[in-house]
Amino acid sequence: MARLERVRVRATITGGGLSASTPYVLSFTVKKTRGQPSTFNCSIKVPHTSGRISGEVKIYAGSDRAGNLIMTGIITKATVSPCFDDPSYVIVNMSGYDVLKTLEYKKYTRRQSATKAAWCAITGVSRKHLKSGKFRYMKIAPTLKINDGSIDFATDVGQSTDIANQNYVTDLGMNVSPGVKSTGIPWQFEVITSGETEGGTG
Amino acid sequence: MPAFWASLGSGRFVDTGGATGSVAEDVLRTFGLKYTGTGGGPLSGIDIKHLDALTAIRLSLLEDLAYSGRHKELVVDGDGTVKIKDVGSGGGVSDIYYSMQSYDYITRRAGVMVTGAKPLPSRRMGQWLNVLQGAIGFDATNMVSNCLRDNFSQYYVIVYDDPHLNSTYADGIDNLYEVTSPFESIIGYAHHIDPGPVNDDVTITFGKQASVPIELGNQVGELATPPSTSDIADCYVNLGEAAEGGIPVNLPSALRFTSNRGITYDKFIKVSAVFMIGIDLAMCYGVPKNYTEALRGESTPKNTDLWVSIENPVMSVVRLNAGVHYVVNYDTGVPMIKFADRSNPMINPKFGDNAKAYVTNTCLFGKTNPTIEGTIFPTDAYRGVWVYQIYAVVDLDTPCITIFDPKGHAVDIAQNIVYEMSPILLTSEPAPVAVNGNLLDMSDQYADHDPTTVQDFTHTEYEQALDYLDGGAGLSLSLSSLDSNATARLSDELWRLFSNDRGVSTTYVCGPDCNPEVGASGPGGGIINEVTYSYSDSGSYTVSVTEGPELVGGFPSITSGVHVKMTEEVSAGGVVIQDEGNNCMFKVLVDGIGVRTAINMCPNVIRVGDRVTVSIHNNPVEG
Repeated sequence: MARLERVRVRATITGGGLSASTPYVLSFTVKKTRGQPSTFNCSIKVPHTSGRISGEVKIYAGSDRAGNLIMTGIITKATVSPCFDDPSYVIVNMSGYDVLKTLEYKKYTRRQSATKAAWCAITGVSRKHLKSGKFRYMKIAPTLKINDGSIDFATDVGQSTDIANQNYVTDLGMNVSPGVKSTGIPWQFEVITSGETEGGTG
Repeated sequence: MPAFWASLGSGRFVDTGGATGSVAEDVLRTFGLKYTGTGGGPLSGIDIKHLDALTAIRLSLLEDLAYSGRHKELVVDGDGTVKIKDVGSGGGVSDIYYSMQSYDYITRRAGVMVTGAKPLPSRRMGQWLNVLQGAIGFDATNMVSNCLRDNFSQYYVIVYDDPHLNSTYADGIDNLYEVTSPFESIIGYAHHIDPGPVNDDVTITFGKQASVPIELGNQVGELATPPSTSDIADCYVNLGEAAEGGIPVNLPSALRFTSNRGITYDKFIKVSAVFMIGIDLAMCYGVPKNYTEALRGESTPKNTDLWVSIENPVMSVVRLNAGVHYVVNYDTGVPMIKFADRSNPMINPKFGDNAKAYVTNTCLFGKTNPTIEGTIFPTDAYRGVWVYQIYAVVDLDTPCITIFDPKGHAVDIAQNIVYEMSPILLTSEPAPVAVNGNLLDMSDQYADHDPTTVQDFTHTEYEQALDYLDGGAGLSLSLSSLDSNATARLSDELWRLFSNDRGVSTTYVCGPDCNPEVGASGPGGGIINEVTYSYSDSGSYTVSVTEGPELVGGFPSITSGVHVKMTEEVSAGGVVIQDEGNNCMFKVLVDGIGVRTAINMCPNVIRVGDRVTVSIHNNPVEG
């Protein structure tokens, strides 16, 4: 047979403009669940002269004395009903949540942005002072020209205006014609003109 | 060649808003809640905008589990203070009247899949690569310029193999730069072109096709007889055998052939021209050796002497007419030039190789050179060329660099030119995915770029993981602030919690002195998941404590990343005002914008004063 042991339980609910202790705490339930705001609801008997009901509620309970602070909550709803067995009192039913409830519907913003690093690329070029049509370099070599049967001397074919009658000598094993002598310097010739003795310059 | 990104600032995305500290704590502070304890991650890399506050806290605490392995959550003390608590720490179940266990049905647990953060794309430069590796140079001086000057060159052509710049992942092509990662792509190439100390008159151009002169020697081989010189004909149509044989055009094999996906193909396009360098024979005709016998028979090389007149004994270049002076025989692997005898068909002295001709003394040259020997090529009935060299110009489907220096140092420039490219690479890796602590290889989900291959995308690691998770209860979430290690760890931690859930719940009914804390460890080794205080006047006051698995409820998930500010691409003209000295980076005064340091990404030599077009990438729009 089970042994019955009497335990003195005491509860106190304060806050919200009210205060009630056993036996005026009629009932309360506090539910705490991981990951969720805790909830409470309680029913207390208070004088009808009590003030406005709102704000924070603290619920204490324990054996012999209400020593454990079980919950501090926020009243979200309170109803008042008459106490029929004691007209000077009213019964107040309150329910609410803990402070995590205050985060409900709250939005949080913490911006974190990045900028792509700008960089610049050369994608095309048009050359300043571009020289496209260039005169070819020509060898500046003395040449011999036959002009109406006589040998003339021209230093640069590029400067000659008598193109039609030009003939050129090259280093293809040619011997210098009579009337022309080599100076010993490649491509430098002296032309012996009429009346001059060998060794003269032209 | 130094790296150039350093002078461009960061080549990566620039993080303009560092994320430090716990988001969970910041939320509590922001909304004025008293709290004790520390915990929660910074959710770095996530742009949080108008996110539910409780969700932000839970995400932050979940990140803490990923990086520290400590499972934390918020509980509220009796006095209303929020506490960031390690789940499982503390106890407090006392004054137990009795307890009772219940068992939930547990389905097979398959696993936990966690997706982490997709890293921001990053740019980097590859190594500098020598484009001219194995290039071959052709000095065209003798053909098109003054052949009488040694060491004098105006033109030089450098031909190199196609570097295949458009490299993509696993394309099966030998590229200058091989993209070996499926997450990597090439934005473009930086060009480093250093021609050495050259003046502004030098022109260096880059072409996609090359025309190279190939020297054929100075012999023309057996000359083909044209179809009929009495008809009006200028080609060898229907001649048939005349196109056989000829002088081979020997191209270096490295220049001609290349391979693509193991298949060798020919870069040879055509022989576009044939040039003869030699001395113009103004008159070129046959004279009977014996006039008496000539009256009795036809002219043959044996009874006919060749006489020529050389009016201009200067090397000149003669461009031969295709179909008239030669045809190209493509029948064999090596193109061959078959030359034609266009001399008077009625008078037949010996033309071609090893010919001998008498020079008339009516020209000055003949007075000292009564005879000439060598290759004599008749260009028409009475003219010809005393051949010194023959060149065939071959068109190749391969890139080239043409150097023109009017002062004749093209060869020197070509020998010292440096042409390097460096790929500018963009790496964009996918978000890491881990299942039960093991990171998945996401690379096998990417298609290669080789059309000759097929891939099995139904048995990738990711697909196999999804199939595995289909076989039981699973948990899949994304937390886009996690790196790969944290992703693996979070999936491992959650899998541990998930698999430890045996479905057992124990409810303890305790007396009024019991004041447990949710999230603390219970007497049975589980976690206190729920506490209910029930008081009624004149009745009872009990504390009901439910102990169960550590993993309860779901987890939040987020996939968004950092906010990347808007940018735009700008193209504009500009003038190069300074060379940074590396032939790659230049300061450009961009029209309407200002001075920018630019990378040369075009195959041109850039000099100060050049007018250039530039593209400014990622020009900020949003501040």
